[in-house]
Amino acid sequence: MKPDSSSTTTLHWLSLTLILVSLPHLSQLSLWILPVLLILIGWRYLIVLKHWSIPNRWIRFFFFLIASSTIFLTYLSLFGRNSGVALLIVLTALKILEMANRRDALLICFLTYFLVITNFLYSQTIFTTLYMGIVVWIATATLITLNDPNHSLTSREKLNLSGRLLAQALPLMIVIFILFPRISGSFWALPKDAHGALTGLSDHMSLGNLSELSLSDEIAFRAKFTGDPPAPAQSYWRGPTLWLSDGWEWRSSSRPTYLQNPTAYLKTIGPPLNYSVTLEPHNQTWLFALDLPITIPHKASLTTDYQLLAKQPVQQRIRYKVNSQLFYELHHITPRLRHQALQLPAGKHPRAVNLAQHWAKLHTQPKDIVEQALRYFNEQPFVYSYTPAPLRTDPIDEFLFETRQGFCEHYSAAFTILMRAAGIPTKIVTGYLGGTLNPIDGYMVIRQRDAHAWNEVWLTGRGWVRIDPTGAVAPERIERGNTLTPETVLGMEWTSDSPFFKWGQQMRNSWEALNNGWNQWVLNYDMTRQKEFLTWLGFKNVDWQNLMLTGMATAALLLIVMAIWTYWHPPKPHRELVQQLYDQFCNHLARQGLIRQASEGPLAFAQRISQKHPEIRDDIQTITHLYIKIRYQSRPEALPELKTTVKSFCSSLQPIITKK
Amino acid sequence: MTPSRYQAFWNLFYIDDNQPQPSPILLVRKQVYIIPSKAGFFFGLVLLVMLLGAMNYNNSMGYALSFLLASLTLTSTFHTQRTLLGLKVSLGKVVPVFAGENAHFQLWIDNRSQAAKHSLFWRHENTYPHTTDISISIPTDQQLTLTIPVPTSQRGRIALGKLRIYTHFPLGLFYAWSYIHLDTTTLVYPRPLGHPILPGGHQSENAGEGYPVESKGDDFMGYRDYQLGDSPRHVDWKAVARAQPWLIKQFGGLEISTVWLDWEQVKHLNSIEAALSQLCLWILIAEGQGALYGLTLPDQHFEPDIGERHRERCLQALALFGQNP
Repeated sequence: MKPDSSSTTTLHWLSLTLILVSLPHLSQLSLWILPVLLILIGWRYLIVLKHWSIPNRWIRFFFFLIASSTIFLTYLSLFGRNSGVALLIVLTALKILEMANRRDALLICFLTYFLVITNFLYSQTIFTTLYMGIVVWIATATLITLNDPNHSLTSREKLNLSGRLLAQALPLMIVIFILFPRISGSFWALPKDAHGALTGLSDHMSLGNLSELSLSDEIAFRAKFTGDPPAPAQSYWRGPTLWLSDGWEWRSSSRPTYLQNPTAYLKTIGPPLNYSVTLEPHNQTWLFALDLPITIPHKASLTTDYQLLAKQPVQQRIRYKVNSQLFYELHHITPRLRHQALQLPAGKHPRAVNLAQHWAKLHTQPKDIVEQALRYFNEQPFVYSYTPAPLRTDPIDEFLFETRQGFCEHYSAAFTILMRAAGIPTKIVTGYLGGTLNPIDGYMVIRQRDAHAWNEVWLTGRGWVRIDPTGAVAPERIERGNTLTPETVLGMEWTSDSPFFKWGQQMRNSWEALNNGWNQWVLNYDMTRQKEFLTWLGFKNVDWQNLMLTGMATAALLLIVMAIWTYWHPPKPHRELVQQLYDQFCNHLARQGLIRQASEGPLAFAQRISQKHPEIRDDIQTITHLYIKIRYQSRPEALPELKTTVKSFCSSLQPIITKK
Repeated sequence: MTPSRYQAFWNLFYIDDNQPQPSPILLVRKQVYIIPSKAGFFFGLVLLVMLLGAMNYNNSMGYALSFLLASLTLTSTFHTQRTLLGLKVSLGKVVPVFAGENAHFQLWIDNRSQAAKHSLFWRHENTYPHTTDISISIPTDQQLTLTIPVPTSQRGRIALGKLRIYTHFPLGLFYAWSYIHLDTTTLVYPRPLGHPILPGGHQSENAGEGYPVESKGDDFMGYRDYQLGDSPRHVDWKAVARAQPWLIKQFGGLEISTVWLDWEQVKHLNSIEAALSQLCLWILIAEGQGALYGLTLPDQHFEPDIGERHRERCLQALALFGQNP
């Protein structure tokens, strides 16, 4: 075994890098990975320190089999995301155990770089990126260690050099990052667990599941308006529409049909809203838009109930632009939709149906029936509650006539039953209501707790009209968004006008704006963003050939700059001068017959002369020591002293040495 | 292009390494070659896989890391090449050796650049892989002495030959190298072998060891300069302790006699080399015993004498016997 791979220094660095890069993974992987990792590394330490022998290849192969079969049994796969990462970590640790030469050590180092990239599959936040930056910094110092067999660098120098190399690599990296042509889509199918479990709306609603979302502070999406954003009470972000009910649960229509032309049969009132949405991944196909989208984003389509659907489930943060119409009239409904919008679960909710039929007899205009229902919610003792009493036998009837406390989904579901029973086509729309504007970057932030459910009723002559029965009960929910829950900071409730709260809000806004900038411009830097950014920079044709050419030209330019920096060395002025002075001194001695031999160092020369001519010993010693100090210890501040000493030494007119 | 113009063009980028150059050699850019190392090619492969993964998952930080490491690789080429640039290599001392010993060529390596040099490897091209590569590190603005051992097998003149100086520093992804072909030689005396008794009856006390015989006798004869290979027993350590140069105390024998070492006495041996080895051994014994000795070769003649210079002249004559001087 070569000493450089077995040395403890190398082992320290490799182990440190491997442990650091594995740490963030440990929260996702099974518990046994960490002890196995530590045991394998500890074993290697014993091999190095106690001169144990490396386990032979059969034992190592046995370990490999055990590890991979345990991983297979844990994840039932070897090539999924989690199992792949677990396998990579264990294999790298096994490689550390059996490491025999520099080549093995290099392989381990490359594997740790690879493990860095696997971390980004789980998280790409600013924090993760900074942490991984540190890991890359240390991994590069490890690589330097592997190429320093003399151990002539201290750890500090290695980290220094590593940092300098990375800093020098950064400009080129940024250029490539900006100009490297991005593609959309994947080369090969992603493993099933490529994207973790995600929170968000679902395509069915049973009474109670939206209120779970109301506790989540997670960001659902962000929106940026080109003009002024609409008031929170007008910001109904439509998601999945629910049509079918079995009395308990509501589901969306099974086979969506699509609209080719979103503006057919549509009469718009007022200008459209122009905005872009940056949607966090939710692993579903729906895209959120305000009311009626009149443009269809790329790779999406619009269903006949005006729902935007992406062609693929959204598994990564995506950004799309939409134009929406808040005020409109629709003049066409397909018979199939009309039929669906009147469906009632057979034999369910008899009391609700009775009440609605009674209203239908009282009023001839559908508009009046709607108002009657809203009045009913408003006048009867209905309560808006996050923790409604459980419903047992017939959820709608119990809610309408007994418990009378509920969340938006209760109101919208009950309202739908009432309207359909009264013969008015109605559907439930789920989505988000409101959002908060971040004043730092002007993005509207919509969180999971803004999840909401409301209704749309079909009124002949006006089309689908939005009715929010929750508003009849808790109008402040609509006005202010869902931020009714008091802010809880450090376990205490803070009123929104306390300075601490304001400061906290400010910090949070800044942090979220920073995160949003990161998401918008770094993480979401895709084909579209690239085109936008380069157009803004003044590029004319952003296609991949141009990008490649520009990228290569810029990279070449940067490399040339670096080459000049490498090869051009400004002369150190003091080095030239000190040499001149010393030469002057030597020439002076040479004229006296004291010639410095070509192979004689300054010290040896000084010693020889001093022995021969003790009378000039002091001058010789002073000049030689000053020369060495400046020349070899890089101490230019001694230069003036050397100058005066040499001058006075050389200017003495009388022969400086007494001939023997 | 005509051949000569072609040559002139080529010379802009290329230095003929096979021609020995005078000392000192300053390593400049066109002398330093650089190619990716095996590890570098492998790392390139790893980077490609990382980039494909990043593209497949459309992972921005994956892209960023791949690009960072790719830029790091490119940046490291400059550092690797710079490790060799600005090194001034000049000839140091080299002393003659006896065949079979290692000739120690001293080189003075001066780091004239502003960066410390790490992991510089030196390989003696002619004898590699029988000799191991030497690795050194030089801080900035420093000079160090490097000794290249070159194994010798036969008498004559041995050249240092071509040295390859190479490095993988700092990341091991690139391999930069250059050739140092200094015009230097040293003498290789014949291997001292044969009959340990001087013609005329003087007997060596350490017969047949086949190595330079140290001065015997008790009389202190004087000092001479220390040379590589001198026995530490004869170094004047008191002087060394006073930070004076290393000196060798010389002792001489009591009886002074004269020996003639004649080609005629050895030409019956079965080869010229054996004859020269015998003469070599006798010279060493005679010198060690403090005897005056003269040497007669078919083409050269040295009057009896004693001392360092005489010994060297005689041994040189043996070393170069039958060869062009």
